[in-house]
Amino acid sequence: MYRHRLLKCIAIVVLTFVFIPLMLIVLTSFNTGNVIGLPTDGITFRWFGRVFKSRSLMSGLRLSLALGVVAAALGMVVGLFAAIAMNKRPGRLSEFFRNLFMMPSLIPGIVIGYVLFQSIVVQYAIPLSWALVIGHLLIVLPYTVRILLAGLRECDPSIEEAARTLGCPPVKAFVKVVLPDLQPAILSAFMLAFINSFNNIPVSLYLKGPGINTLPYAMMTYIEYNYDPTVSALSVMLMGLTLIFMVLSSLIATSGAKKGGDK
Amino acid sequence: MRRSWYVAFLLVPVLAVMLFLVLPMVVSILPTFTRPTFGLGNYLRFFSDEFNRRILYRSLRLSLITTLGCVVLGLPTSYYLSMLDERRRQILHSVILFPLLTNAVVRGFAWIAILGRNGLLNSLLSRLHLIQAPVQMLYTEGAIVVGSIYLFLPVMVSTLVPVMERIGSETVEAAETLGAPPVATFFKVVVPMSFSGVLIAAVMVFAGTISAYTTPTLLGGSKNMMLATLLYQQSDTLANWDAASLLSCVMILCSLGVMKLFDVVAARLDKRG
Repeated sequence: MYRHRLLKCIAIVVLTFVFIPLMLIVLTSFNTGNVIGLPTDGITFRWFGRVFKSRSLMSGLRLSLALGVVAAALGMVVGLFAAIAMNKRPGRLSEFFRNLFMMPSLIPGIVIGYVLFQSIVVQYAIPLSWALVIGHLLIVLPYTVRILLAGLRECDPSIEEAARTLGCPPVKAFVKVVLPDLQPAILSAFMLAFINSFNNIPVSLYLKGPGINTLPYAMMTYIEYNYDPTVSALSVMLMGLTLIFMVLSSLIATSGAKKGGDK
Repeated sequence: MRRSWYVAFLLVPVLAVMLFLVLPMVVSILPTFTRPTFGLGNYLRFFSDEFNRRILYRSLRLSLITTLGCVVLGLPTSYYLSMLDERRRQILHSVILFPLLTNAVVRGFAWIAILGRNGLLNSLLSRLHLIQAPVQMLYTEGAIVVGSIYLFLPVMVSTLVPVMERIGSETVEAAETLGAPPVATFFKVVVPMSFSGVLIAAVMVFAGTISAYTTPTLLGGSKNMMLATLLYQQSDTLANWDAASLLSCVMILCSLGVMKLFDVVAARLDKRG
């Protein structure tokens, strides 16, 4: 650990580079002037009030929150059943399906948005709100499947088998024995799915309409026409949300580790 | 598990991916090879236009520069992080992870505020009397690179830290006990031993940069279009479905192609090792 001064310098520069831009945004949200700048004379909270008064940002926020919860919940249920099936019958076919479910995370988002638009909206003529749910289900599927499958593989199958041998029916054995062990995986899969749906832009970009704009898209439109700290204030609020998620997931991780230690 | 249950459990997600992703992709992209004539004619025609060709080159070039930047900055940083004690490493790791979970619009917006004409950097430089008039920094290729490195550096570092941890301090200490100076240890021990991890992370960064839409839109403006912005413009603004489908195929090839290339390189390295 001695004589690594150069290494330390590079690391500090990199960490600063990663940290500073978001910190600057936090500072600009308190600016008293009407432009995005550092607050040199006093601070104000009025930009935060502005966020709640902006109709486009608020309706975007509501839609994105609702969509995130619905997509993550749906992705969880669908992903859980898929993961159980793939875990019970491992083999070439299951491996193929796993790769299939990973596809939405490998193909460029803008391409997914475009082909979804072509198929759902143009060809199948499915209403826009359903199209958004389907699109976001595709986006979250890789995350839920991967995390749940990894979680299931870590569970000891002999415990479930023991329950079955002792006469427990399969569904009950799963709910009583496997599900409690799977809890941390389920929670982190849900959170990651929500975050990815909430932050997604390219898919929502194509599936928009009058009154149906997700928050990231509403923000991009707002930035295009306005240059005031309202978006800074909203960014600070979103960073707060990210922070809450990070604290929650670290809490889940530590409680999971403790449980594992008890055995 | 009985076969019928297996089918039932997998039916919904398989149908969803097939009906809404695989089939639409085939339906959109296949005609670009067959209509009006069979072959690569559409592609040759599309890229014979200098405007389109320049966008392809720009996307490839900026993605490559971004990837190199992330490797150069991320490699030493993750090595440094891996040497710290548990507590410090976790704190700094969350500092790196935080932007990764933050919306790309927020992260692009931060750079608009910094690089803009009346932005924070320009006002700082003019207050220091280093410049007379604001410098054009936003809406340049440089802005896209800076924004993309900022976007993907967390990916690079969080992928590499576990790789660095696996190298272990014993190997590094052995090199140093035998008299290797730190710089030599880094380049002769750490870099070669983490090479496959760096390759995986580099592929992720390259594929991510070349597929990105938000960052080039916010920081590049309409003059510095990339493949994703061109695709969106062609499909949403101009309703030119043929061009959009063709670009979809090009973008898939660019991002999946580099992953395939990585597989080949990795297989060859495995044989050698």
